Amino acid sequence: MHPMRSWHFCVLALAGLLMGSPVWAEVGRLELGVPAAQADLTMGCLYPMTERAAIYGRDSIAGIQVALDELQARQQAGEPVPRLRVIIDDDQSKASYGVSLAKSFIHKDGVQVLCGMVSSGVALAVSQLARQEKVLMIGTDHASSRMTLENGHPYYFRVTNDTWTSMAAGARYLQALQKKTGWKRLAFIGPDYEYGHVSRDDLHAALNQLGVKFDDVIELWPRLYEPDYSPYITALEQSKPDIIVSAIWGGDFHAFVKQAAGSRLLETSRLANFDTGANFDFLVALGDKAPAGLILSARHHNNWPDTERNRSFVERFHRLNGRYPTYAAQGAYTGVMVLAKAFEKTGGVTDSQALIRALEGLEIALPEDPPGTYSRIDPVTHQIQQSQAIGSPVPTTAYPPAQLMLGDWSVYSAQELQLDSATLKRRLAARKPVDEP
Amino acid sequence: MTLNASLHALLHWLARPHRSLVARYTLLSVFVMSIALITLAVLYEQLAKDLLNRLTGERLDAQALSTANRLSSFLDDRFYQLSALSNHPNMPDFIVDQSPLISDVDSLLKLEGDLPFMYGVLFFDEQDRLVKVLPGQSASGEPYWGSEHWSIAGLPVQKVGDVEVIGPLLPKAGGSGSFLIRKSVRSGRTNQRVRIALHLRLASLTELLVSAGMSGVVAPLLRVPGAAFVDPTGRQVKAPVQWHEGPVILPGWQLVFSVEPGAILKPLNDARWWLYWVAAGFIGFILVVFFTLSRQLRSRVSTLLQGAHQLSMGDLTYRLAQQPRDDEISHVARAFNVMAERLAQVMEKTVRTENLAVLGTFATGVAHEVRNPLATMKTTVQALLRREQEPQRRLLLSDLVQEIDRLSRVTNDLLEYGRPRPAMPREVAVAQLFAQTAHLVTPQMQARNIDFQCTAPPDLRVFIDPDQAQQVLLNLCLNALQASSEGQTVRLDAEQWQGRVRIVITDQGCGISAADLQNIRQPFFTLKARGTGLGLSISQQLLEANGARMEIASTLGEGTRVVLDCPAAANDTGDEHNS
Repeated sequence: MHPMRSWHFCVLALAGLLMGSPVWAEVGRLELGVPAAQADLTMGCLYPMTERAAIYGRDSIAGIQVALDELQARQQAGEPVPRLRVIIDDDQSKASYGVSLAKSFIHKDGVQVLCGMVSSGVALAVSQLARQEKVLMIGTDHASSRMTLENGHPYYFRVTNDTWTSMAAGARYLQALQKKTGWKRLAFIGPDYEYGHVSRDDLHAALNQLGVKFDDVIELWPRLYEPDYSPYITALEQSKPDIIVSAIWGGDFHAFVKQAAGSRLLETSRLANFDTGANFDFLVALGDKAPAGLILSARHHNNWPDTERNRSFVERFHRLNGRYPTYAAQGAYTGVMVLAKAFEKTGGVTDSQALIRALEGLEIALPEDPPGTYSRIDPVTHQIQQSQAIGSPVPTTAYPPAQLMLGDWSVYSAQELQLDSATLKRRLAARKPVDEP
Repeated sequence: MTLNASLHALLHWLARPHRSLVARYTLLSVFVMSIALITLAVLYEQLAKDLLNRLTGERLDAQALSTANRLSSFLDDRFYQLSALSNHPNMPDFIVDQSPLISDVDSLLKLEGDLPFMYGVLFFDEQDRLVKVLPGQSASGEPYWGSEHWSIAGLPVQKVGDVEVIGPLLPKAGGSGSFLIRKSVRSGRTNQRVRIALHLRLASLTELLVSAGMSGVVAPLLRVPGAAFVDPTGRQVKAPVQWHEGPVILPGWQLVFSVEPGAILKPLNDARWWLYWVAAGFIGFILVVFFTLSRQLRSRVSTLLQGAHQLSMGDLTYRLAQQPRDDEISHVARAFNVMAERLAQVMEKTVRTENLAVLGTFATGVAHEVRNPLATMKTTVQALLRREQEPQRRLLLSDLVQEIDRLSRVTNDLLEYGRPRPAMPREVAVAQLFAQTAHLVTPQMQARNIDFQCTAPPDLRVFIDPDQAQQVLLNLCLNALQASSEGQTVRLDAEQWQGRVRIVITDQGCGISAADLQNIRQPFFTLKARGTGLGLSISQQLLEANGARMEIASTLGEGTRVVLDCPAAANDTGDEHNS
């Protein structure tokens, strides 16, 4: 990129920072934080800013802004936090665009840490690049457990719950539910890409690990951004499941539930989405009445845990943007805060290896940690370990325009959601070099 | 037997004369309902057949063609895409080298790989071994993250020109279905024979089937090599029991329509059977109602028949019992009783009239024959009495005169009975009638120490012949007097009642037995030692002549009560109505 143009973006970003309103109305590249010359570290983040997943990109940028504001305040208070420069661009949920932009970040912008990515498909491709380029990568939103296990490598870290964590929590919820209702017939519908398939495998592994007996009546794989779910809903209706676990996310999940609500599917089957279903924009889209039997969770909830840290994060986000955050915001916020903490831990050393060592086993207090707990980055898998809460929609007026938020919580601690050692060993053993692009 | 003959026989059977009316109506109802039901069933069968024909007929063929065009078009686009990649000038170099010079191929492949219907781009050598894998946005699992278990060996291969269509790889647990289209990469600087394949989502092809469905009756499927059937979601499904073949889109790949008429016709069939059951239930209900009604009707009609039989046997006193319900049978029973009552009255009146006519003629004749000799006898005896001095004889002659007088009275009564004077009714004050009667009977009452009480409203007026009324009252009061013992009371009362005037004569005397009450109005029937038995008969006759009725109620040993129901004076009636 031309230096003048880069400077122009920095000015725009700073202006946005000062006005308390980040600039993301335009599609394309965006820079936040300090100018290149003043930066201790430069992050290059990729998020979708167009199509159905655009809300994830917008909220991730806003989450980064909240983190940068917090760091700036701490810096002014004299704390040794890094001065960060964050470059953000739109990967359009395409692996090719993601890899291309990441290459550009590394070679043209001097990015030291790659971050972000909503789609696991994009993240897998960028993760390979990070490995080749020996550049640190902090995943903030994609969730395929393969990323930290079979496809894990020293340069890759993830700071939000992965499919294993969500599905392990979901399996425990379903186990308890089976004792109450005796459900037997399980259906799965997930997007036909890495995230969907790994979610299904993790759910089955977690259920089998718990000894839950069930009939796998149907598995369906609509594509990401599927325009019409009607054949899938018809197939689900015909298979008569008791429980449908969905790994469809974002706008796709809205579309699926909207279409399903027009059929009789949800009258006889309960729909669960353990990883992304409780996203704030979906709760808003439900209006004042949710289809019966929804079981939802997400990687962050605005109303859980009810801690000062979580309330503060949600309020700062709301103050900055005039709306409440989706879970992506807290993931992106965490990405920045984790890097800052690692920087502190190294005493200001920005070498990748030093940062990696600092990140391994790093403990940090985050908005989604219940009272008395911390999030911790596993030194082996580089996956952050956090609690997960699952609930169902209840009426509330506390987070307008949402008329429903989750309640009736079932909370699972980070410890009980760990992979068993045998599975961990097996999956880590599958790590091997991938083909060079 | 022809239909007409059968129908005729049925109608004849229905119209059999000995069949009851209820049976005929019921059978006719059942017959009409059955005909309606059979017609409905025939129409339904025709409609269902027509519907199925419409669903699986020409319209389906048109849809099949349209759907096949969409699928073929999708495949043509992918063939074109494959051809463009395989013929890219830098492609041979890209396979063996990855220098920056051929990075445009890398970018192009990555861009193509991100298309939503693709999992990735694969490169094979001449032995079908994977030499290069480029995952796309939708890639997952093998062959992108490891390929130990992944192979295309044994998969069906169809040749379309120079393109091989490999597969499909049908979905397994946790995975989705796919197929490959493969083509040799153009010759390049090296002599390496490499083939490039697009790894395509099977569901991206089968999703194009969706619009060909029809309300669950006709489900579009794709029959793929290996005799498998794939539904619009890309899942393998069981071979349908009944299907309609559509166009072939590739060798071995054919559009088929699973036809499940039950999906739409089953609810209709179920509804039809419900209809039949309900109709059969109605027919059963009608028959039960018929038998119940028939039994009840027969039982109640037999009561009517018994009444008619009794009447025909001359028992005019027979009356039907009060019916339990106010229905047609009850109306007939009431009419029967009224008829019997009137018939008895007519018969009684006729008999009495005939009796009276005979008796009148007889009495008039006797009276004429007896009255003149009696007058002569009386004159003679009176003459003898005047000359007779000896007391014993005078007593005998005097008794003779009294007996002649009594015979004269009997003769007069007979004459009056035989030739009654026509009534000349007019308005008369009841009190006046009572006063005159009291004047005549009081001395005799007093003589026998019997209390005689007489009360009547002063303004109560009756429309009657006053002389005849006077005669009747006198007769009845004397009867009461004669039935009473010393110290008892005879009452004469009057009152306005239902627009008429009721005059009641009550005594506390010996009373009349029930058997005697039956005959007491008959001429010459008397309970008195010296009575003629004509007093009540004449009274009855006079009252009828004046439009009045007489009712006698009596209890032996307690007394008798005679009620005269007389027409009220016009003014009194008007007053009553006005009040």
